[in-house]
Amino acid sequence: MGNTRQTQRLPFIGHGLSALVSVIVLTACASDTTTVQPRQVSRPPTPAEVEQYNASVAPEQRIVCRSETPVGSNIPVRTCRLAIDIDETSAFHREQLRRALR
Amino acid sequence: MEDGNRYLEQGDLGNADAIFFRLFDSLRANLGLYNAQQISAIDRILAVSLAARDHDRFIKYLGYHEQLVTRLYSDDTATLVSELQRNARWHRTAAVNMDDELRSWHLIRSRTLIWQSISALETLPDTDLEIAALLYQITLSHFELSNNASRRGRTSMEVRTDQPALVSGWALSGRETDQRSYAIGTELLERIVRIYARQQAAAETMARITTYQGDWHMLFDRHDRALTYYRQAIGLLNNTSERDDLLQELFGQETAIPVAGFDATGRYLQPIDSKGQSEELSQQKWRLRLADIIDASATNVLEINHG
Repeated sequence: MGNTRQTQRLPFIGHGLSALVSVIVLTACASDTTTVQPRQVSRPPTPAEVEQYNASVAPEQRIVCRSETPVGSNIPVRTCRLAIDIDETSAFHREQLRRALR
Repeated sequence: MEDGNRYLEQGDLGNADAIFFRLFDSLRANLGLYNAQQISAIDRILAVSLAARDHDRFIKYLGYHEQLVTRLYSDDTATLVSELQRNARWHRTAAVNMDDELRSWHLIRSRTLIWQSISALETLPDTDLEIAALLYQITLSHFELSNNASRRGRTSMEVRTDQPALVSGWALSGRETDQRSYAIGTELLERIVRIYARQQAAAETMARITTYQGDWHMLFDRHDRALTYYRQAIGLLNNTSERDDLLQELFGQETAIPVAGFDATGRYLQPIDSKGQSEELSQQKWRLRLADIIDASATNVLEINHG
């Protein structure tokens, strides 16, 4: 709104200003994606961060992290899961086993 | 209130309880169910319940206090933090008096409330030193829990429920929880170091925290790493004017570890009086002394501690 009013009063400055703002916004967006993305992807939560998070949510929303050694490897990998997902997965596996044994 | 306190001091728990409960009831009747003035009455009822070892009642009023302050002070972070810490202190006090699973549960609840306090403090400006003190309390609680004789249900009470009951199902093993506690303590102490470094703390303060880092590794029998931190702390003390006094204080005598706590009000970290609670909750260990640090190779450090 403010931009429109300014453009009516000072057309040349208004156009120049909006172009400048567009360039700044686009540059900011571009630099945001380059700087933020790797940080979001690379680091899993530390044990203390998990504990702090768990302290502020209901039990079913809590996260559990442990080192698991995947099949075909000797190198353990730290894996974090929601408590509710662990329950659902184990219920699913129990059911599959029951079906297989029928 | 004074009469009740007098009865409590004299050990007349029946009369003390009657007075505090009447006060609690009349405050609720006159000022409404959600009034802040009942908090002091609840505090006294908790003291009487604990003295009478009426654990069910103690847990009931502690839970009520937590719910009440969360409701009353959702818009007043500073007061909320102070009340959450009061609740956490009661849990700790109860942990000293309880056995096995209840002890673990109280320690875990205390730690959860301290984490909630930290999360709240992080929204306020200039609370770094207060946060550092709370982080140290959490570190201590990890050691106390890893030393607790009964580990049964520990993960259950950490992850699956907030109640003092076990929930069957998946849980971490004792070894995994110890490793996690060690990792968390290490991480929190590093965070404390960063906080004090940001505050441009004096070399003396940094030396104390570095010593606590050494203590942490000593507590988990990582003697090589402890030695590295102790040497680093001594190196930091070389830059201070009171080098000899501080060396004597930190490494010149037998020091039981972990050191009880931090004074968050000042810029300097000092042990605070916690009435020996930490000692009661954990197996006693000792910091290396100066002569041992200077002379020790990794091998004879092991001999010192096992011999």
